[in-house]
Amino acid sequence: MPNNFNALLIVLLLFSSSIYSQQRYTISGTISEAASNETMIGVTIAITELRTGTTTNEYGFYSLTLPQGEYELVVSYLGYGDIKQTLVLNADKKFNFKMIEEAEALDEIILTEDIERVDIRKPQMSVNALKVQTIKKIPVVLGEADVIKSLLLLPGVTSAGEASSGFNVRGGAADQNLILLDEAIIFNSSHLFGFFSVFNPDAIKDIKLFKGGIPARYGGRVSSVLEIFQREGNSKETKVTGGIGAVASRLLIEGPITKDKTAFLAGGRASYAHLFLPLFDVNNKAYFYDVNTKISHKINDNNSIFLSGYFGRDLFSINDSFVNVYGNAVGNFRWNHLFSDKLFSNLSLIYSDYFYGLELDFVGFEWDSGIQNFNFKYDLKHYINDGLQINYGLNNIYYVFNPGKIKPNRDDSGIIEDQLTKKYANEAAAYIDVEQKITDNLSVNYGLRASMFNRLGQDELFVYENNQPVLFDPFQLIYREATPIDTINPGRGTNLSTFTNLEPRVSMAYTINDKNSIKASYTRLAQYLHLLSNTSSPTPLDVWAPSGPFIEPQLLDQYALGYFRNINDGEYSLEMEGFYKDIQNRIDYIDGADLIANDAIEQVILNGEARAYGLEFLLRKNEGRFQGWLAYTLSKSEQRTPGRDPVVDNGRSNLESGINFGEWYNTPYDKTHDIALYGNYELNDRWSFNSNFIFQTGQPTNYPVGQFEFQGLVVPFFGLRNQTRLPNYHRLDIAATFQPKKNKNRNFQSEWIFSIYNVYNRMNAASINFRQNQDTGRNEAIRTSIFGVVPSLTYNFKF
Amino acid sequence: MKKYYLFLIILPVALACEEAIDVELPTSDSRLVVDALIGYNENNDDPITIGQVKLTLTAPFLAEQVPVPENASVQIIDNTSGEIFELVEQEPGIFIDGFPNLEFNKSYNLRIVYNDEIYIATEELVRTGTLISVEQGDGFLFDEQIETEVKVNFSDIVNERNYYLFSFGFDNYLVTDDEFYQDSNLNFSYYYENVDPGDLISVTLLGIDKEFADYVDQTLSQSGDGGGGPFSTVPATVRGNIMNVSDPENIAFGYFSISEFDIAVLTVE
Repeated sequence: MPNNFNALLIVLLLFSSSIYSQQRYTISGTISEAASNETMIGVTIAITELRTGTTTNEYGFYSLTLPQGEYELVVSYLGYGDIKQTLVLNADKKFNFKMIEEAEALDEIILTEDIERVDIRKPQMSVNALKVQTIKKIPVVLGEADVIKSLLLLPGVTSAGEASSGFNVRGGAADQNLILLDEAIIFNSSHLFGFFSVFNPDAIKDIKLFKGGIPARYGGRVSSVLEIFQREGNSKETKVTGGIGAVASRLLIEGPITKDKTAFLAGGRASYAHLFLPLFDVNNKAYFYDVNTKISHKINDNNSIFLSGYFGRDLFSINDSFVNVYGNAVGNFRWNHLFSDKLFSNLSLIYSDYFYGLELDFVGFEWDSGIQNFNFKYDLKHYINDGLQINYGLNNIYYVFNPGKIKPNRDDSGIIEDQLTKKYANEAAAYIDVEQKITDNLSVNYGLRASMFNRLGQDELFVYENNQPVLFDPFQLIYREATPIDTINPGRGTNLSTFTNLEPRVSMAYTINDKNSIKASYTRLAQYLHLLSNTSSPTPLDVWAPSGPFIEPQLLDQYALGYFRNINDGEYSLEMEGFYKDIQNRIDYIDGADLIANDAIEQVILNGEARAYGLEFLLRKNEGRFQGWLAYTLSKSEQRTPGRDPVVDNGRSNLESGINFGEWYNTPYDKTHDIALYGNYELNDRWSFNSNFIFQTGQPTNYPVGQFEFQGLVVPFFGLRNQTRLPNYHRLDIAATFQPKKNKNRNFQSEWIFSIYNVYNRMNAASINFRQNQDTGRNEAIRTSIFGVVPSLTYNFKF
Repeated sequence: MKKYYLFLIILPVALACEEAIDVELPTSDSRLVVDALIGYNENNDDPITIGQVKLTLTAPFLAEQVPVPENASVQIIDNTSGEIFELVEQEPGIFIDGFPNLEFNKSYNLRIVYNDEIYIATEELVRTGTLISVEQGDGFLFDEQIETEVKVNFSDIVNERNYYLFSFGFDNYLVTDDEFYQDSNLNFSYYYENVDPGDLISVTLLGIDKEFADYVDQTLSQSGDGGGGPFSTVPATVRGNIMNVSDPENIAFGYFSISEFDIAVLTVE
């Protein structure tokens, strides 16, 4: 396969170079917002005569190479006035456009261009894009605008419910999502165990979720890529944005350090410390905060640098005898350099760190764990002509995993300081990705990513008989942890395992006519890190583990086919996609596996596989006072872990049962039906209304098939895994945004957002647990629901 | 370790609303359950062996009681000498009398015959650490009104990896291992709820092996100690060390364990 693929690549490249004949020139430049100098992502630059064009990249840069001639150039972006310019192209030219935001008055806005709307000609498919403005309008619990909760309204994305970290894309696990904030990897996307996501909407410029057809420049996670870019800051004048909400308040300041050249942005968000206070007594604290910072500096037309940082922490403390702190810290330096008007480059040096700490005074210890990574990325975008762009680059990530360090927190503690064995790994990748227009109707993206993962030596490594850390007990028909026969000490310099993978990606769009197009894609991805999680939804204390001697990398093959249609001149758009994906080496846990502070995780995991398939449907209304969408996903997500090859033990062949007798079973994130309806109605220039309705099939769970008694405890027992489901999940939310009339013609802008979450007070089950009632002694099924109806009020301002 | 993390789970769930609901549950065949925890104490060279073998059957989860098997017989076999000790059924399903005097480094079989099928489990006596002190303190974790702090100090067996089971009475248990306090004395606090002055609290420390430690851990988390919520571990059937040698598919639940124990008693002030 890879060889054929390379051959194809070469043929296509040759083909494209053979059409060079006429004299061609390049126009290029950066597009930014006039008021702030903030560069803009995804601005369309269209050449009317040639029916061709391009969009700005993540750094606002565009480049178009066209035959000599005279053209009309149209630069457009939703909510901004179009720029039309006549272009006499007889030499390479540079145009930096400044987009001017259209007047606020609604009557004047004719909403026609929309980045959320699908571009039916581009091969890129399976992308969910949301504007920050939309996210801020979507009603959410407790009124705190939330990136991830908003994404759940689009097809193919679900979560386990209100208080659950992470999200699931196309039947994938939460750890299979690559979350990038300014190109840095974020390992935990939730505050307060999933009530809020860690991204401050005020500091965000652009959000994109790739569910399939993932370009070759991304790698390392098999399910999706959520790419978030922070704003650069206003380099024209100092601006303040903020908000006061029911749970948290926000403040963001941005402004020039040197006008038009250097800008800063600093934003903070904090919840109120008394959040959980009514529940216990006064000595308890529970809060989160996060800080976003960025400095951008334009050195000259060809060079810009960016320094950005993110720091977020959650803190829980009970009576000072229990303290829990966790969060992400990210710092990065980026350098944009233009080698020529056709060759754009970005160099990123990124440090990111996820920390989880715990102090338990009543037992007398402190616990620190985390993951650190040092990431080097060099990406080049080569705009060869209007029909051909080649992106290529390198990436290297060095990881240090700290599964846990325990130390006494006071003198009389009996705890002895101990470090669970740290693990080290390096992930390197190189990619090439070609975006090519083959004919007027056919566009193709094809690329190849070559990745290599080295698990490096560590202080202690267990050795097992027959290299089997998990044993099958043929009498009890269960899996058991093996006892290591030796412990070796491979030094840091040694290489424990090496994995290499070639990951081809292809996607194509065939435009039938102006209204209809068909797209197809194939993606192969490798994932070398695994989140060890044995709970329904990931928790902050889940530990990441690298592939190595006992854990193979996950490998995905995904096929997607889509039909895209613009209806009524783009007033409506319809997207339909079908996908099938297959993941090799999805780890599964033996019954009763204990993952916490486990120094020998290989003893409780087995290698299995996963698959998911489904249909997604998205109908949007893109224009007018009423806008919104209907999303529906029908899908299936399953996994299985068959028994390993029989081993001969004492002359007896043990036929293993596998997990669930080796049969396919539903993953905890298998949601057969997922419906989301979102609408936004602009009544007048003061009032707008938003509403969303969600329906999801209840998530698979386990109900006990019986009980037994042991030492006075009532113990439920279970049949095959995930055979039953929680009740269906559904709810309706509404919100109204009010902009005071006095906003007009003054600098200080404000708005009030009134919202009601879960209007009809549906008690959705986060879980159903089975236990004995302590008072009556009778067994009960207990439904835990997180939020009933929640009204809230948020005040936002800007000056 | 594991227990302490449970506080994390409490926080989000505390915001939530819990309600008993009616659900229709699947059922399964009835199976034998063996609850056999036998304790041994040297008792100043006057060794005592106490404990019981309790036999029950599984029942549908919402059933109010678990049935007791009839016509079962229970034996302890000294595998070194081959000697067989027949246990006497005192009450239906409960076998208390007839235990041999246990010795270290000897293997014992528990043999049960029920419904013409033979069930066997094999164990050895496991040593325990020493309770140095059990004292009442005045701290609390969540609520001063209902909690009573008991400070426990015990010493680990030196030079080996050990697992311990604390029984605090009132069906409260704690499993711990010496990974982080090897050869040392561990001080920790345990918080009782709703005990009154004058109440007698007994703290028992049992030496157990890794398999039984895992078993009790899983039993505790499955029996609802885990608190539930989206962060609770995936439910799993807890399987012990009782083997049906006549029909391995007809599994039995429960555990046979023999442990040295130490005990301390405290009157609440």
